[in-house]
Amino acid sequence: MDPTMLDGRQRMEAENDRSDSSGSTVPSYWSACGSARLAILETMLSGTDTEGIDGSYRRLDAEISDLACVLSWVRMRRNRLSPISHLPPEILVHIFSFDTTPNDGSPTYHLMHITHVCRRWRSVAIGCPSLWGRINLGVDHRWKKVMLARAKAVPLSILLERPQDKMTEDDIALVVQHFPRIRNLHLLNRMKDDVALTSKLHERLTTPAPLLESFCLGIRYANHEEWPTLPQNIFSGHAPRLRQLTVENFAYFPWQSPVLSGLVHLCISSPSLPLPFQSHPLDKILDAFERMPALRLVHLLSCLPPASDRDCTHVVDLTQLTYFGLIDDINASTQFLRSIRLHTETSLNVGVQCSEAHGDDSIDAFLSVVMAKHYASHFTFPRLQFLTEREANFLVHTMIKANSEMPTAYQEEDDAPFILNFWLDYGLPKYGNPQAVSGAFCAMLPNNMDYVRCLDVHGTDMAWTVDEWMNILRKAENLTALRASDESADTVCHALTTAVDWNRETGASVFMCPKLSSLTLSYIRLKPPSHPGDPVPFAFRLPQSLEKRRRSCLQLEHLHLVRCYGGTGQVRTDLEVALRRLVGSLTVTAPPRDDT
Amino acid sequence: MPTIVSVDDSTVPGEGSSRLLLLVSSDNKHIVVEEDIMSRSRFISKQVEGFEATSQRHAILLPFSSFVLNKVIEYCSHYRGYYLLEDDPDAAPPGRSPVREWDQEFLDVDRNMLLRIIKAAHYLEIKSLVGSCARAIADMIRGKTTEEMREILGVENDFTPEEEHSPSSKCTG
Repeated sequence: MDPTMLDGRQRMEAENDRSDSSGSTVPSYWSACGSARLAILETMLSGTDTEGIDGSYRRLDAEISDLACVLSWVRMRRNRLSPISHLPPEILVHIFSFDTTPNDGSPTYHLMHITHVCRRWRSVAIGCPSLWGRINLGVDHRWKKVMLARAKAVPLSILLERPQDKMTEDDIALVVQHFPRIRNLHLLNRMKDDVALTSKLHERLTTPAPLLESFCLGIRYANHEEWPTLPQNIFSGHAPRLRQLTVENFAYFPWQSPVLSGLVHLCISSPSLPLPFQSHPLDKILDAFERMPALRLVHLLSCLPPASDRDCTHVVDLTQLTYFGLIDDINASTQFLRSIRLHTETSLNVGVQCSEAHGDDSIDAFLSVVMAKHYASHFTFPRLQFLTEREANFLVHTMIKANSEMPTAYQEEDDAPFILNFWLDYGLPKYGNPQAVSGAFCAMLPNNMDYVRCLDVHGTDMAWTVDEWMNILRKAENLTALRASDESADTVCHALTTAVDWNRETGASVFMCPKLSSLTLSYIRLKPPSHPGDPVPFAFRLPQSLEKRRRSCLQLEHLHLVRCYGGTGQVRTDLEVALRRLVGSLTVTAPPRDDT
Repeated sequence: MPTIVSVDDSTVPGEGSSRLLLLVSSDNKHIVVEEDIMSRSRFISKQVEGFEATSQRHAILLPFSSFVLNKVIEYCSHYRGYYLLEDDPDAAPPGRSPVREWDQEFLDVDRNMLLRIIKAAHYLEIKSLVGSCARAIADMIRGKTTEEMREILGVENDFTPEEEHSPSSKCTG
């Protein structure tokens, strides 16, 4: 029989017969109820000419679409049975509020993925404007517009944090347009941008910011002659909720502005400023600090006025601070430190910039004031790549002197704090005798490790050998945190691994770094495993079981693998899964795309 | 709404130095727990305040199983006496729950159990536990494709073709 002569039911049965060989059949109940519809459909399909065939196509497409809707309804009903569907919307919103983007530096499209899972998720996510108010400028502009529309009138957080993301004119327009409703504005862009582009933003900074709670602005400009300044009347003096302020690379900071009065966190840095920082006199800056009673964390980098001939007459009480960081000219730092009073619990992070022009008097004066505040818990040396050989030798001397001059009572404290930052970086060979400086530190460290709680070593060409590291780490009985990058990270890995193996083989009970709880390794290279299913090759092996880990020398609570190169996302994920069980907290991040 | 029933005094242990509560699970298991332990639950706290207005003893009927209830009690027992930021009404908004090692081990359970715990925590108004569970669920789908998310959470793609291809879904950067 010619198939075109069959009615709908017969046609379906015939199709069933034909599809038997493939094992796929239409259930009889569906065949029964669908036959009537198919019969109607059959009557709609007519003609063998082009127009008739086109019409049949359209009707069949419409039918397919209708059936897809039916299927969609069936799946929706099925989803209602799923346990996740029994969660109330507010819990789903809570889950969606966590950024589920992998930690590989990719832009945050997680909400888009969320809205594509199922109808309920889309409905809940789109129906919650607060989810959409956190806009990362690194994402596609169309997506930003979608997010803005869905955010409705909620306060916004606008972020530009990845180094490779560049601010566009549209981004500036977005910030300017929505400025009064911005709660958090973080524009820490390390790319060079056109001043003309951002001048619109600067103009906006003179208007009130009633909702602003945190403001971070740091842009590196190409044209040094047009270096920007923050307006004196920043936010028209009206930013009542402002608690966190971070500015980088501005030639002027408005210390007298009333918007500073509620700050909890203040960070000003101008490390690469080609022009003199237009700073206020020191007494004006100290007055400003007195007007910030809620301050808890301060970091000042290259923004103090040059030291004057006379010290300030009054001392500002900053005992409420939990952290104070200061990196500046040695004389300016000395004068500032003399003018403030810190609590014994305050973490003090001090770095100095000095040159041949600074005589021994400057060094002695600085040492004197720092030693007077030695009870502060952090004491950080500056980055060596900025130093001449003489300065580096000064630092070696400083460290030895600092240790030898510490009061006995201080040395006996269990938590006698001392932090050493040591950068064996690529810049070092430009100055003096880098090998000698590196060797001096390497030789000096083992005898001084008792005081070191946190060791921060970065280096490429000048990295110490595994044996040198072993000498240092064997004496690191009080070390609690270790950070290393590049080749130094590799050698640290080997040294620590060797220590574990060596202890296991010999059965010795004395271990290296018994107090080490935090390890940060940057720029390490991951490789995919040789065979699928093998663990990810990684130089640093933690004992696999919790029990063994407790017995081993390593009591790591925090492991941070920063900017791991190599390996696919899956390799990193596998590593993360394997390590997460072994340490209290784990961070694994990929390098920025322009670094790879 | 919670169900509160009057109970015989003999059901509840006698008064001691710390007050005791009787919690009844949906599978009719009676669990006695110290009030201090459950004070992290705003729901229970409100119930207890209500009890104080009457001299009658009460049991609190809860709409989840004893297995889930015991997990919640284990959580509350662990953090007994601790201040947890998320339980503070003025605390940080959702999405900022801190990572706690113990919570990660505690919530290392299968998907359905995790969903039951978060639902119970939500019912009992224990914000810190809701936050930790939400983080755990978010971690389950971190870095996954939409299809993988569906598979992990047991849901189907129920969009119609038109919904699936709506213009706003095309911004992939």
